[in-house]
Amino acid sequence: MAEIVAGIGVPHTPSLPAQIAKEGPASDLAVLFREVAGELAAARPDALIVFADDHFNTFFLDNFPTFAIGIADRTTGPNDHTAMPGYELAVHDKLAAHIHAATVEGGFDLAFTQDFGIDHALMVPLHFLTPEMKIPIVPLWINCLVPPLPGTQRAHAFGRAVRAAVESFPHKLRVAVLCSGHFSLEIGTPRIPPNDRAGIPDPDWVSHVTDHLRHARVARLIEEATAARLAEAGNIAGELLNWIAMLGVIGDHAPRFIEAQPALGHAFAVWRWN
Amino acid sequence: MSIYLVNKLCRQALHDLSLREALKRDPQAAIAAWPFTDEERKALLAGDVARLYELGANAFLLQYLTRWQIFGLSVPVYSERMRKAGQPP
Repeated sequence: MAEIVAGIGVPHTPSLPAQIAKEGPASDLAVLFREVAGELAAARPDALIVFADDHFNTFFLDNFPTFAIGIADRTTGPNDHTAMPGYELAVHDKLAAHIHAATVEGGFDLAFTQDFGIDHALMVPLHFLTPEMKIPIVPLWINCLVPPLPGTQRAHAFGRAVRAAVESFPHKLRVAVLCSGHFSLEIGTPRIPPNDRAGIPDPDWVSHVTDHLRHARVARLIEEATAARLAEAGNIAGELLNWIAMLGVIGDHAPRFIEAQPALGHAFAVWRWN
Repeated sequence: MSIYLVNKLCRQALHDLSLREALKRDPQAAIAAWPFTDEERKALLAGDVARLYELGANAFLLQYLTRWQIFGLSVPVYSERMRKAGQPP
């Protein structure tokens, strides 16, 4: 009885809160976040499913899940010293528990945690999109950073399983889906630029991915975004998996709005269809 | 798989403020109790991020060290050294 009402994709770069506070409300990034926030509010969600990758903060290499879900009634963040306000927010524990049970039943053996904080990958988008933190979230983590990553087919199937779970949730609920992450980004490896610790190695891939998204060519994107292709786009470019999982939830719609910033490696997008 | 400890040290430098301060003050003493291999310890103390990367350390975690210039790793020094690294195992 619950229904999916919107999909949202944005960046989660940890420097954004401080940068946008400094640049002011008229900056390109501030305008983009505001436009997306307006669309999300107009969709009137009762709950927000968030696909994100944990950057070794909620989890670490002693126990690092490929797919995981957070099931609790509250959480706090950011838990990684990101320069931004700290928040406590509600988790939709009933929807989370239902998604957990239904996806396991559907063949996705999720790891789960009942005691967790969340890092910048969730908190930076939420800070800009829902600063009052009144919409309970369901955090879903995908390993986008530590190879072997799940494949794009698998991430998309995971999204479809989450959609089926939402549709079988026995309460009336409007559910939006948020994802975030770079399409191209290299951090800390031999491919970084001189005098920097990060760079965007493949702005053309950002434009290419954006073009596929704009025209709802999801199957093409899934086919082209092989592990090798993602690695070429950067050691953080696997964050596209968050977007592909989100597409699995919402289905093959064209976005109402999409704008890439290829030089920054990322894009902003909104999907609404009614 | 002892390179795990190098990753753990980088992560702990972010989350454990007392370790971070100790690493800034006296790196050799700060890691004395950590059971690194000789090669790992030598590479850490020399700020040889290229070697650590070649040994399999995670680049995202390694670059944390530039935030506090631990082991002498300013961003330009890190970048110059890392850009010469070979492939990890």
